Amino acid sequence: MQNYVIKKEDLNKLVERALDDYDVYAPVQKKSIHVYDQISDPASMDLNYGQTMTSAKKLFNPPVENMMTFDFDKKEIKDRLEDTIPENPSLIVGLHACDINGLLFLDRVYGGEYDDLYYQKRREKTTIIGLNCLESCESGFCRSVNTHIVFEGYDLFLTPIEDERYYVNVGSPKGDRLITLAPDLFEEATEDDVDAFRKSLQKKHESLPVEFHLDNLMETLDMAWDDPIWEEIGEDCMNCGSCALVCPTCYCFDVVDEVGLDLKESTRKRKWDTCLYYDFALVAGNHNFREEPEARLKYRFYHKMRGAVHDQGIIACTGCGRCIDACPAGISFLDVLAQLQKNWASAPTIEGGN
Amino acid sequence: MQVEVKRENEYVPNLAVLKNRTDMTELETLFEFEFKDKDLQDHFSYKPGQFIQLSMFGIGEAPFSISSTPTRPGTIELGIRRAGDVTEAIHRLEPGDVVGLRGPYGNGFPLEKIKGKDILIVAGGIGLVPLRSAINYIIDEREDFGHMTLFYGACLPEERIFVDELENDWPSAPEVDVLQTVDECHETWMGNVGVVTTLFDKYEVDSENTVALICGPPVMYRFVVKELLDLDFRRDEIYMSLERRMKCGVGKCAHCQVGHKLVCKDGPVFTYFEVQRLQEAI
Ligand SMILES: Cc1cc2nc3c(=O)[nH]c(=O)nc-3n(C[C@H](O)[C@H](O)[C@H](O)COP(=O)(O)OP(=O)(O)OC[C@H]3O[C@@H](n4cnc5c(N)ncnc54)[C@H](O)[C@@H]3O)c2cc1C
Ligand code: SF4
Ligand code: SF4
Ligand code: FES
Repeated sequence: MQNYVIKKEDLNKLVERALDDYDVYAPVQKKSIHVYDQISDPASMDLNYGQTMTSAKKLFNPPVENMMTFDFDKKEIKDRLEDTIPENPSLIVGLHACDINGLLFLDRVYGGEYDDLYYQKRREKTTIIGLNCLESCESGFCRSVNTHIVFEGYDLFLTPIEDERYYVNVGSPKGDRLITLAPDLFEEATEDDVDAFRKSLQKKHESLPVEFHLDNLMETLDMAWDDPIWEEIGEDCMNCGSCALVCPTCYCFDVVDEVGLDLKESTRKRKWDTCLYYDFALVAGNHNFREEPEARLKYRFYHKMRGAVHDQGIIACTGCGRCIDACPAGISFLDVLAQLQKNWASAPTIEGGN
Repeated sequence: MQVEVKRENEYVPNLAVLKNRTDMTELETLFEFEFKDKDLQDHFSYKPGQFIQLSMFGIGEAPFSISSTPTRPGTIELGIRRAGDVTEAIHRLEPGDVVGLRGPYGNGFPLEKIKGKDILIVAGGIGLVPLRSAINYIIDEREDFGHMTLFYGACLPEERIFVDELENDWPSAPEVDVLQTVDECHETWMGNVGVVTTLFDKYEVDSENTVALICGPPVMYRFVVKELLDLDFRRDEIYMSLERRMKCGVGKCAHCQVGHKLVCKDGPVFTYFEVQRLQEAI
């Protein structure tokens, strides 16, 4: 496998050239936070970021999208798939390993027995330049859930190495194409570069903490259904849904028909939804399977950490820490899991981990 | 045979025309739809217990169990109760009106697996809708199955659905017993009175070589399952159809998740053994 190196300053040149062909998205600083935003000038991207407030999920599964239109007079359905997909291919620069793992999870949800073409087509048209984190961000706990590493799902993956350069792993033919776009900016990695790469990985492994053990989580959750912690955090939770909205792997959606002002047609839209909302599990006859706020918050934990394993084979949490930062009630996903493991320990818990 | 009709975009429904509507009760009507596309009319197939997503354009989409049987192809029958926006709109449809249908989805009742067995069916109220598909299927493929017993309970005599089949077609079919009961009645009702579980005192059920299929309001399940377990039914031979809010029908929106399973993809039919292991299931 051929690997490359690129100077940090040359990455901006690469992005500059890519702007002709791609819609480019990158982390951008807005006041005190970072978000993924479309950029038209490489200078506005800031790869020296901890975590973005919202995840890159919105670029693949937007908060609202038009699915199809119904023409009432002609009694016809028009599939809006093609016009909901952006015309230009997209390039995302600087996606961290946790978020790429988030996409790998969404790939499973939106694939499988039934294809979700709205997601899949966007995914196909997107090129991803990943970025390795050598230090932990403030609230993230990626290493505890094994998402600090990623082997697929990106096209190029950058690891900062000495002398203000990046070591470049190529993950796909789309990555190859980016390199041919600017062959003058990339150099083939030498043995010294591989050495530098290894040093960076060492640094990463020394600096990223393990905060709880994933291995006995399934057993813990199976035992912890009636744990008093749910009532405790249920009392604080406002069911605002912020935790799910910022999460890279929360994928619940609602579907609504909106009638146009001319009353000639209606559009079926899908919108982000969250299991925290009151009517999420409400059925006819006003029977609510999760009536209490506590039941809905608990369900979020069980779906992500238990249900997803049944359904997709992996947990639906990348340890990105966004839900912790976003929660107005100060509920920490990590602390709750760590506490449950302490209460129900069937395997050693991490000393000092809380 | 299950023929898969591949659509480009799974969420886009196929157009279907309302052929007929038969009012059954004040709230429930039986609707008979036919796909516009000739190919689909011929090839659309499904299993009893599967459901379909019906679109009322401009109003929304909702899941409904298919109430007809694949042994009588050509049209699709749905028994629908008025409950909210989409179902009210469906009840305003006239023959010739066009709706969207996509599916079939879900696993359905395991009719292949229970061939040769006796079958006890317990239905409460509108729970008869999916079970009617299984009942007529079994009657049409009579030699494949053993004896069939139906326990049907409704609140009031006039709230019973498929009355003609309950009173005439099914009792006169070979190897079929039908017992009905209502919670409350007027003088004109000559039959049983009491909740559906009271029928267990009136009819001897032999659980040996018998499987149970049940569908009804959530409260019914616990009581019926208790009766069945007392009669030594095996936990994995009690099949129940669950209902949840659904948006996509294909395992993407997570609305129908129960415990660690999805009602739309892993269900809607679950064994009691599975249901016991699902938090919040019944
Ligand atoms: C697998 C499956 C099979 C089914 N089969 C059948 C069938 O064969 N026949 C049948 O009749 N039904 C069936 N159902 C149920 C059917 O899907 C629902 O009755 C239908 O979705 C109701 O849709 P609606 O738009 O008419 O009602 P909605 O407008 O969605 O409302 C339904 C009820 O929920 C309450 N409600 C809704 N939203 C809110 C809110 N935001 N806040 C407070 N209350 C709210 C209202 O009280 C209302 O009465 C099935 C469901 C499933 C999952
Ligand atoms: S962000 Fe916090 S308060 Fe809001 S729903 Fe999530 S856990 Fe509850
Ligand atoms: S649950 Fe929280 S930490 Fe886990 S992926 Fe979602 S936002 Fe990130
Ligand atoms: S209805 Fe969407 S996941 Fe089941």
